[in-house]
Amino acid sequence: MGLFLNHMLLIKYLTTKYMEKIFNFNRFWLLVRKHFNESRKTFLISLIVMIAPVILITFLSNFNGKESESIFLIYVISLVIIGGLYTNMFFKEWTYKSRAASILTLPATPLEKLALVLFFSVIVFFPVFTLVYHTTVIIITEIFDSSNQGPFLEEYHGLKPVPSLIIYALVPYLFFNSLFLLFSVCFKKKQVVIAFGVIMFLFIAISIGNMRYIKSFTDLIGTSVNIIQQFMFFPTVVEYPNFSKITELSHFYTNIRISSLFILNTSIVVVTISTLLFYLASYFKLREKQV
Amino acid sequence: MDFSYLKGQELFRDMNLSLLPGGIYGLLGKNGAGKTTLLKLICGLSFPLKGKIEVGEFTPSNREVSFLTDIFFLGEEIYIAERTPKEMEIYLAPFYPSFDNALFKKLLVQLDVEYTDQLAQVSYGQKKKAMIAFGIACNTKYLFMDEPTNGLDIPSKALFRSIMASTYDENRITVISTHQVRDLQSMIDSVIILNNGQIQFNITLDKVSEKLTFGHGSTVPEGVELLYSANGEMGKSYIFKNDDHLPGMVDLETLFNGFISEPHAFNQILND
Repeated sequence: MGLFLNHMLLIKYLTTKYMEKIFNFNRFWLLVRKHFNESRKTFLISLIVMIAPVILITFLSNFNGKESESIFLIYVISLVIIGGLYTNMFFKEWTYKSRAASILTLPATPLEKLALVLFFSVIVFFPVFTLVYHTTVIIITEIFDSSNQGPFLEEYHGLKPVPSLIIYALVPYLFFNSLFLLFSVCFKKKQVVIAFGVIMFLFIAISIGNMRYIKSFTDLIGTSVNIIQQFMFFPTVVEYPNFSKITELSHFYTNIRISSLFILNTSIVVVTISTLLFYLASYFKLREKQV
Repeated sequence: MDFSYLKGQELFRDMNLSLLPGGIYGLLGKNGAGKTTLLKLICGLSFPLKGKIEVGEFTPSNREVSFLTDIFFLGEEIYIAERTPKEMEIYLAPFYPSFDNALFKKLLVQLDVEYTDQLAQVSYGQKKKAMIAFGIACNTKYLFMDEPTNGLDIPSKALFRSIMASTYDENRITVISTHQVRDLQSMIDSVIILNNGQIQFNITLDKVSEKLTFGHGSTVPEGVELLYSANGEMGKSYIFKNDDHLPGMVDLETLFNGFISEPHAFNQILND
């Protein structure tokens, strides 16, 4: 029994010792504290500067708050774009030799440094952005169009149910975040341009892919959908019934219900695996990063 | 160890270098010789293409935390994320377990940097002094400084020299790279000269003084074969072989200039 306990203690000691080399919460907390101190003003200002035009666009296109699905769509797209810029801000410093040297020689593991980026760009940024965006939208809607406040909140499914927020906002956000992170670590210059280029390519490819599929249905009914709706088409039709309003084609929604469910699930699996792979690739690239 | 930035253009080839604890090494070389690159390789900021670098029990390219807490690298282009030296002490120092808060404050006073100075608003020299104070106060086993005297005024350079002497630690390896050779005078105890992708020599100044005699003046002693001589504003500087092996003063600038003009002759004598 004593021997067994000794073995268990030895295994625990070795595991702790090994984990210490990979991730230590005290060091991670020191990193968070340090980073928050040096960047709090920059991030606060940039968040306001970036979020202001998004809210403006939302209200110029949906002043009375009736188009709650469009508000959610703008929220998701802006979340991805602003979140990408936000993530890139962390690694912009890495491209300057002097800055990169000070970060790379800082006594913390690559996993802790990567977790720092995820902490600020996902755990902090995602809820803050979601909260700020929607609070502002709701407040302004109430001020400018108080009569619609009730229906707006009732109709708006961006924040409820929670699974839809996770599937349609957090999952795509994490996917693009991992992509931005990977490009930020891999490239020394123009990371944002490259990342946006790839995202645009994906966007256009999916839209074109959807186009034929949608066309086969819309031809029958004699209407059309725009490019953003094509991009959002598969994920929005099944789990998010109110999105069928975008196309105003209840018929069309019913027809593709089964196949889109399959596509939705497949998409979530593919996106999730890709996201994990991109994060993993970022970690290994970070370990190999040289200046 | 081999290293190159571009394929086919090797910066270092079959380089060998050993450094011993307690040494303050002056790393000298012409512009582009690879001084900064060599320091980066030792610190794990760049990786060798071939061969191995070992710093104590660590391989720098692994960048293990235990290794990183043992080194401090002060680059030529400094970057301080913190706003004040006080913030450096609060937010950066906890990463270095041997950080000496009292020494940090003392060095700041000596270098005339206020503890609460807004670093964004002070000169480059002041920032550099804050970083030098921080680097020394970290009490790491290995201290690497790339052109630390760049941007410092003349009194600060003298202060830097005296600080380096007063904070000497026999367990620490300090490497200071510079092209301003005079700044290292009376500060280093060994000199490393980097030229054509090789360490031409890594030798203590005591040994240099045993092998070479340095002179300065309007006339050259008769009957000696000069290895190097150059006319300067203050007269002639020269080097000849020290046949008596009696130690004397080493003029680093003349040694470096002499080596650059006659590398073969100096190599033969110093590596003998």
